[in-house]
Amino acid sequence: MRALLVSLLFATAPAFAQTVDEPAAHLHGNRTYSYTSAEADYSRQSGTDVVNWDAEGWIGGDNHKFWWKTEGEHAGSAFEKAEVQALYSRNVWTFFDVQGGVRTDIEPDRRAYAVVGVQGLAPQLLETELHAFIGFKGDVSIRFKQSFDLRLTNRFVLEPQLETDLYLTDVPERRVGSGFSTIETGVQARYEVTRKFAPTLAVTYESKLGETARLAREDGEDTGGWSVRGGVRFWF
Amino acid sequence: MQLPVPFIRAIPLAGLLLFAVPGQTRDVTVDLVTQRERLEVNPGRRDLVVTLNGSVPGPVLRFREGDNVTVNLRNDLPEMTAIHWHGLLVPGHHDGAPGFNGFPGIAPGATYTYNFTLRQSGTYWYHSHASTQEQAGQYGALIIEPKDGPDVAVDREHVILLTEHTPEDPERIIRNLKGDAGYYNWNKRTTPELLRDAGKFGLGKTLSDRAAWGRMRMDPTDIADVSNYTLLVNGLPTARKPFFEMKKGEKVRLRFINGSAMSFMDVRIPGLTMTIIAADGRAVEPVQVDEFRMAVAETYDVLVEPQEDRAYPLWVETIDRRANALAVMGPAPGMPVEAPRPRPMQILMMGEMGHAMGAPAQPATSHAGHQMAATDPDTAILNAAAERQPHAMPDMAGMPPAASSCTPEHAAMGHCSMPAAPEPAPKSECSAEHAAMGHCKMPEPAPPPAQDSSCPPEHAAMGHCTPKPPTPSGPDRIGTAVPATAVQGGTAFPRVDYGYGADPMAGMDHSQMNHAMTELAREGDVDGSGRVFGWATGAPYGARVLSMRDLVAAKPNPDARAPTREIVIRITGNMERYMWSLNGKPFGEAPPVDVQFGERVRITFVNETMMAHPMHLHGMFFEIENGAPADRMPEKNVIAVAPGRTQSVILTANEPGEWPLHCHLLFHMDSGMMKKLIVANVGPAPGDAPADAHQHKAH
Repeated sequence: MRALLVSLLFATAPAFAQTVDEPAAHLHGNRTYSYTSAEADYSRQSGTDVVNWDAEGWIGGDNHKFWWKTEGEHAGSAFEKAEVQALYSRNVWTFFDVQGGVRTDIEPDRRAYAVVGVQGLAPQLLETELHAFIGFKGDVSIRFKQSFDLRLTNRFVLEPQLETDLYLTDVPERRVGSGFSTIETGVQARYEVTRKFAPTLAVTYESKLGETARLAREDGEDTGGWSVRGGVRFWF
Repeated sequence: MQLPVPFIRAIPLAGLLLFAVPGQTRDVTVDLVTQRERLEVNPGRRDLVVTLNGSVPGPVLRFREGDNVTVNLRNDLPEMTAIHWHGLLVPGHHDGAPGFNGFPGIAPGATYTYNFTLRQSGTYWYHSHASTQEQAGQYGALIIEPKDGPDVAVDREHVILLTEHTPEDPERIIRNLKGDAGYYNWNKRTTPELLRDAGKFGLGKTLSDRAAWGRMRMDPTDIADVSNYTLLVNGLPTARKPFFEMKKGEKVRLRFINGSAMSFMDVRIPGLTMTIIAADGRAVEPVQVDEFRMAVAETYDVLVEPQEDRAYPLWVETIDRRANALAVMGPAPGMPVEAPRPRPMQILMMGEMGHAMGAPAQPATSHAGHQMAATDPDTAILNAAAERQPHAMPDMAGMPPAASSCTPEHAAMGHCSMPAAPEPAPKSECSAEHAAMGHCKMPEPAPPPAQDSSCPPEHAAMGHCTPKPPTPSGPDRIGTAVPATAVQGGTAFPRVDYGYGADPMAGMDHSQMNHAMTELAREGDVDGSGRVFGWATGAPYGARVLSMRDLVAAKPNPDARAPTREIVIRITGNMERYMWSLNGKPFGEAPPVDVQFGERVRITFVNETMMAHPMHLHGMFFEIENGAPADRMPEKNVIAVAPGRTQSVILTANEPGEWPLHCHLLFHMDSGMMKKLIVANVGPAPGDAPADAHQHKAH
């Protein structure tokens, strides 16, 4: 399954890329653009070196886009989490796209999901994502992300962030119980050296919740907590 | 590679053309080569630009009316190119718009020969209409002398081509805007500003203002899309000291051209009265002004007569105040001039965003009372809108008593006079900038006629009051965009009525006009951080500022028929995604607008965005419905439509062909803000019946 998804990713990308470089043949609208953003940070949590990454991008026009996303976490000497999404994105409302596609996880175990959701800008300039993941192994979850920019100056920005996963099923292999399983929230400060490059410093609370937290405690594992994360973000 | 050729060096080439005998038809040939090369535009750095004959701008092309012009354009660019003759009446396939009239553009390495006979005179320009080459420098001035010699006797003449330069590749600029529409805006509102506003206006009012903008997901500081521009005067930045020779007692004609990609500009020469004598190449009744605002792609001919033996500053500012240029006008280069202080930045108001607030979608136009053919659905909508007035007024408890000619809503927004509010006696030597800082009292303006100040054009159109008709002629006509101190009831800056369209909310159902209640301050007030509220602000009280309403054709137009139908062009977009369109459809997805050859139509632009758009039509002039008599409406090829405003023009479709109708903000056009207007000699004879708007879709 993973091989299929990865090859789908690579098969689609060049097809889009070809039109990117096409010299202004389609003048005045309907042109193809691309966007890539990436963010990575480092923190030390419970005596372990932790690196988180979150990258995404799109290729396409104003109304139809191919989106890709990847996020994950490397702790100590192993990948704790690693996932990749490939989505078709269609601008349906002025500020929102409807997206559908696939997600594949490499860690903590290999599995894939069908994805459907919305992404856009909610009133009060809230960057908003809401996606449902329907696992091919039967697990179903919903992920909600929101953030907004609070400008102290035009370069120094505080960004409150929230991300939470809600599971509709138990996933025993991953020691996840149904209900809200994780929350990650905090404030990230960034200084926009340029629009495209900013060092970041975040104070983040990341924790397992509910049944998932209970299972972690049962296993003698840490359920999470506060951390200070330093990193960079850039886009091009 | 060479240094940028100063504009003046191009004149010998053009000078040769002027030695021919007036009144005689000549064959004139111009050879142009365009290529990409590095030039030192700003001292000390070489940027990649697109040159014409090795320079930016290209040579000044000087012709005479009646000339049979041949232009050989060799394309040494690695991509397709095309030069458009902006404002010229030419056959469609020589208009230079690829994809129109079967013109495919000029392939790399190819030479294309343009050929046309000049049927007009005036100040025009030429520029690339392909890819993003114009932004990169492919432009130049084009001057046509009347066939019987100069129309105005002057001692001296200067072409002043105003453009911008950025070291960034235009393709990168549009990619940046697509990735982040606010990419170039480093003047967004901040949290400290919120606190300052709270201190000035109260926390509750400030928060509700921020919440209202947040609901719309719009940015009130989005005045212009692109920054990092250096303004150029004939290709020279301020650092290279552009100079125009001008001596005491001379009568000097200045041919201003705004050849910029994205910048509306305010132009003034402190100490000199400027007399506007032509707009977009067409002669108008003279209007005396202290300053005028130039929409992108407009041209204005101006007369000045310096009375002192000194240098004067020519000061040009973009309306977002992020770029300016200073040139010296005087008897000798190097004479000192003092640049005025840049004006404070502006902050948009929700009142400028009527359509974003759930207001009625139907436009009410300044001519809503006219009889129009009812066959066109758009026309029917307009007539319906017109019938809805007058309307009930909402409860306006707490508002001061207003003049009967002024609705409380408009009074609240500073749109009309409030006789109850007396003004302090101002000092005339105080600039508005200083007044805004509280350094001094406001200068005293010349009080305008009472009728004029109490009756903004929106209200006049609704029959609420009698407008003062524009004076067709006379030596003392002055720019009327700034009406009077009394009108504002004490705002730091006056609201400047540039005449860029009427307020479609005027006369609409005001119960839906809830934004009037949430406005933080009045237009012309200053916020806690020194920004001025309102797009149309900046000029000080008492200034003579050009309004579109002041433009009156110098000669009667041959065609003064009433239009047979109306074509509504909604100016639409989504700033958040940097998408721009007309009638909600980007170019390529939209059907063309079909007009019968010889037909006279009204085109009404309804701006539903928060930016001003300079709308340009190729191939023909349209007449601006600005209140001038039917046969004296000014002919232009660019009309600016202010945020949330509605402006109509009348077009006699007498040039067959396919003509681009587009926003001349180049990154808007590149994003799809363009339509094809087809003038075809098919269907019923003109005047018989209005052609169906979609009859010729198959073109």
